Amino acid sequence: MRMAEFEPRIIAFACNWCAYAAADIAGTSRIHYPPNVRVIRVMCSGMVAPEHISGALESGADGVLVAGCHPGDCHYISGNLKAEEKFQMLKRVTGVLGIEDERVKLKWIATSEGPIFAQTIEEMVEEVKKLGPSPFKLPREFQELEQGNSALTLEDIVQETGTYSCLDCGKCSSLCPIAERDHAYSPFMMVGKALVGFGDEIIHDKKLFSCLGCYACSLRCPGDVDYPAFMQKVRSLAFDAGEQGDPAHGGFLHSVIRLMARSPYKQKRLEWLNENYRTSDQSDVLFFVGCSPYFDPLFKYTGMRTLNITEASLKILNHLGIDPMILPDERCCGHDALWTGDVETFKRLAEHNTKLIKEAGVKKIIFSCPEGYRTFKLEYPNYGFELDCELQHISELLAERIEKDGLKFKACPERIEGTKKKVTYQDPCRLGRHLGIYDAPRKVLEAIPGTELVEMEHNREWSICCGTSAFTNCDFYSHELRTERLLEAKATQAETLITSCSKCQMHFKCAMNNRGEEKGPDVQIEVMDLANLVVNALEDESHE
Amino acid sequence: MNNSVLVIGGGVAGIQASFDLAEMGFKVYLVEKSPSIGGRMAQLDKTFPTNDCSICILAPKMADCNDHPNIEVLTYSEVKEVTGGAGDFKVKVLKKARLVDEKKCTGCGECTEKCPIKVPDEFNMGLGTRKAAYLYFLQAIPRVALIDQAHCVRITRGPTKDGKPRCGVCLDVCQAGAIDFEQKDEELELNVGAMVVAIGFDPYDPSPLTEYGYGRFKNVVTAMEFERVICASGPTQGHLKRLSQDGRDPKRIAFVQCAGSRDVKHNKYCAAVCCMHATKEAILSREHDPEVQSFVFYTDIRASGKGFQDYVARAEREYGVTYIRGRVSKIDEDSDENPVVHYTDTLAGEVETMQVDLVVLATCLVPRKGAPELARILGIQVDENKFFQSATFSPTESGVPGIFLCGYCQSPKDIPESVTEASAAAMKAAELFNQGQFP
Repeated sequence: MRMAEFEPRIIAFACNWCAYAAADIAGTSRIHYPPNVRVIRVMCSGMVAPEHISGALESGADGVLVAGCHPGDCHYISGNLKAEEKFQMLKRVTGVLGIEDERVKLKWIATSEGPIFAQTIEEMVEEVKKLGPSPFKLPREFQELEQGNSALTLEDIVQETGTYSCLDCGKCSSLCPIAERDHAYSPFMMVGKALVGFGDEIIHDKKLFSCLGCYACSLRCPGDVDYPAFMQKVRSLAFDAGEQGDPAHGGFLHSVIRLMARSPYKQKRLEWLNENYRTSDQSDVLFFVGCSPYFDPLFKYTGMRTLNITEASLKILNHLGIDPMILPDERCCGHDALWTGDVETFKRLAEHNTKLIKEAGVKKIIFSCPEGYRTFKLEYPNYGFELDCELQHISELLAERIEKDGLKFKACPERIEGTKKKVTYQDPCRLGRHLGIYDAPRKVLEAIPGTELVEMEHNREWSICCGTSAFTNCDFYSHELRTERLLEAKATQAETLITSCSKCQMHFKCAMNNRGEEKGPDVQIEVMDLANLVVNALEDESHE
Repeated sequence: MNNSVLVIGGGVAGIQASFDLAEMGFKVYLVEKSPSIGGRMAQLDKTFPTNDCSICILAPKMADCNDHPNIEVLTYSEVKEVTGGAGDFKVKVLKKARLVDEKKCTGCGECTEKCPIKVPDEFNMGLGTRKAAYLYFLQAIPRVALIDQAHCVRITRGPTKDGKPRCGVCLDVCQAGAIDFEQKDEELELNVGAMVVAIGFDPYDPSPLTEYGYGRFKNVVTAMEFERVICASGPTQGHLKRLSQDGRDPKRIAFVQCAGSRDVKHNKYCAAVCCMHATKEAILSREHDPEVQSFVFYTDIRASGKGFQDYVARAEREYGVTYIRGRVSKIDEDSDENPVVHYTDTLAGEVETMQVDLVVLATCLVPRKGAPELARILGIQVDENKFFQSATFSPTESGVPGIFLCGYCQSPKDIPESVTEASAAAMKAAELFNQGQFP
C-alpha cells in the first residue's frame, strides 16, 4: 500500500461529558475534520484502562486518542486524574516496546472546545499518516488464522499428559492450594470432566483458569497425571474457542506480550544499562533479561522494581568475572502466553528468541527469572526450538562457585556485631517443583555470613505458591493464599522474605499493598530477591 | 535321587508346604531366618474374615510342624549357597549361634527376665523392648532362648579391665545350664531333591511418603504397628492406646489405604490384603472400645475372597465403620498431636479435612530385603518389583527345575491363598520324585 493512499484508522475514547460533547459540537458546527476517527463514548476518561488502548493497537488501530475533561472539571471529580495516571503508565510501556509516541495521545478537551477536537484529530491523522500503517494490523485473511492455535484434540491431550491414568482417587485435590480454598474447583473434577466425555464443558469452564500450574498435585499423584501440562494444553483449546478466563489487570500484560510478539519496533529495553555494568558482544554467555523492563510502570505502586533484580544479577555476574552478552531485541520467553493457551504468540516469541540467540552464538544462558528459565528449558524443546546452550539460574551459578571455587561473601555492613539477620525463603514453583532446584538458593543463603535461614512451615517441595501465575488468576482465593503465605513467613520471625522469582515478589508486594476489598489481616514483611541480598554481600573488588 | 525337600521360610505357607510334604513321606528341612517359625501371621492379632485369633490357629500348626518326625526345623538359619540341580541339590545352610544349647534349654524364660540389656523389639515392630537374651515371641517354636550378639554386653564390650568376662547373669540364672557363650555358627550341608521358597514379605516403610508424616507425627502408625498394639501379646498388652505423650485412648481412627501402593512413585501394584485388614482393624477397634469411630479412606475396596464382601458390609452395618472414597492427600498435626487428615470425598466431590486421634497407614507390602540375594543364590529371577518370577499359568514354578514358589514372595496374596499355593508347591515338588517310592 503506497503511503499516499494510507488512511489511518484512529480510535478515540471520548468522555461523555466533555470530549464527546466537544466532538458533537464540532459536528453540529459543521467543522471539517478527517473522517479517520472512530469515536467510542465512555462515561469518564478515567475508565479507559491500559488494556483498552493496547487492545485497540492489537486490533490494528493506527492511532489511539484518549480525550477527557480538563483537570478540575471532571464530572466525577477525579476520574480524569486517574486517566492521566493510567495513560502515563501505558505510555511508559509502549515506550519500552518502541511504539512511536505520536500514535498514542491524551488530550483534555472541554465541551466548548469543538474546534479543538477537530484540530486534534486533524493533527493526529497527519502525524500518523507520516508514520505509516500500524505494524500490528493483520490483513483480514490472516485474522482467522490467528485462532487456529492448537493442533491437538482433547483426546490427544489426555494421552500426552498421562491424564488417562487418573485413578479418580482425589489425592490431588487436597494438595491443591486453590482447591482447598475454592471448593468449586479441583484438579480431579476437571480431569473427570475431560475423561467422561464432557469435552466441551471443560473448555468453557471458567475454573479451567484457576490452576496455578504449581505442581503440588502431580508431585503426589499415584497415577501418572501431569495435571499442569494437561491444563495448559486444554487452555489452548479454550483459547481457540475464545475463552480467556478472567486475567489480572484486565489482561493488559497479555496484551503487551502479544504486541511484543508481533512488533517490528526496536525496543527500548536497556535504558537501565549504564557504565556501572560490564557487558560484552564477544561473550559466549548470555544474560537473559526477559520482560523485566516492562513491569516497573505497572507495579510502581507496590514499591516493586523488577529491574532491581536484573541490575543486581548483572552486578553479580560481573563480580564473578562474567561480562555477559545482553541482547537488545530479546523478547518475553512466552511463559504467560503458553500458560494461558495462546500457543501462537508463544511460538512467535520462541522463534524470535531462538533465532537471535543462535545468531549470537552463545554457549550458555543465565536467567534471573525462574519462569524464563523453565520455559527455555522445558518448553522450547517441546515445540522444536533447540538452542544447544547450557541453561542456568543465577542461584545455581552462585552455588556452583561457592562449592567449586570457594566463593565467599561479606556480612551486611549495617549489622550490629554478633546479631544475625533472620531470613526465610519462598521456593518459587517454577524453580522448585518444576525444576527440582531447592538446594542451590539455600546454599547461597547459608554462605552469607550474618544471615540465618529459618524455613517456613511449608518449604521445598511443600512450598505454597504465591497465588497467581501467568497473570491469569488473581482473585479472592489468590489473595487469601498470599496472605496466609505471608503470615507463615512472619511466623518464622524472619526480617526478610527472600524469593528468587520476580513474580513471587510482585505478588507478595501487591498483597501487602492491600488493594481490593478483601481486607484480610495486614501483614508487612520485607520481601527481597536473592540477587539483591547477594549483591549487598559481595566482597569488594579489591579483595580479588 | 534322594527324597528330601528344603523349605525356605517358616511362615504359614512354609509350614503348610512342610506338612504336606512330610505327610507324603518326604524328609523336610524347614529353614527359617528368624529365631522362630510363624512368620507374619504370628504377628497378627486376628485374621479376616472370621476374626479368629491368629496365633491360636497358627501355633498348633507350628507345634505339629516341630514335632513331625519327618520335619527338621532349622531356625536362626540361612541358605548360603546352592549347587547342583533338581533331584540333587547341595545346599549350604548357615545355622547361626544362639549361644544357647537347644537340647538343654527348656524355654523357662529366666534369662530373659534377668538380662539387664533392653533392645527395641523387632517382633513388635520396634514398639516396646525385649532383652538381649530373649525368646523371639511368647509362642516361639522352638521354645529356645537366644542371645543377641549385637547387643549382649559380654560380647560387644568384651572383658572388663581386670580381664574378667562381663555380666553373665544369664549363665547364673539358667537352671538347665543351657547358656553357652562358646557356641559357634554351624555350617550344614544338606542334600535335597527339591526346594520350596516361601519367604513372605516386609511392610513398606512409609517414610518417603512425606505427605503422611510417618516418623514426624507420633500418632501416625503403620498397620503392622497397629496390629501389635491391639494384640494382647503386644507392647500395650492389647490396650488400644495412642503412642504419643498423652497415651490416651483414640476415639477417632483414620485408616489410610494405598499408602505406597498403586502409586507410580512408590509401588505400582496393589498389596491385595490392605482393604481387608483395614476393615478388620476397624472392627476390632470398635470391639476394644465401643466409642471408637473408624474411617477408612480408600481408592477402591478390594474384597474378593470368600466371605469378604459380607465382612465389609458387616463392618459398615454393625460396627459403624465409615468408608470414604478418596485417597488421603496429606496429614498435618494440630497442637495436641492430633493428626488432621486432608482428603477429597470423591463421591460427594468435596475437599475436606478431618481431625482424628490416630492414623493407621495401610502400607504396601514388599518382598523381603533378602529376596534378590536369595534369588541369586538359587539361580531364580526376580521381577521389577522384586517378587520371584514365575510363569503365568504355573505360578508355583520358578523357572528353575526343582525350585518352587509359594506365598507372598511370589505375588501379593492373603493367608488362604498362601496356604493353598503352599500345598500346590508341595505337590509340584513331590511330582519330581518317583511315584510311590517311599522309604
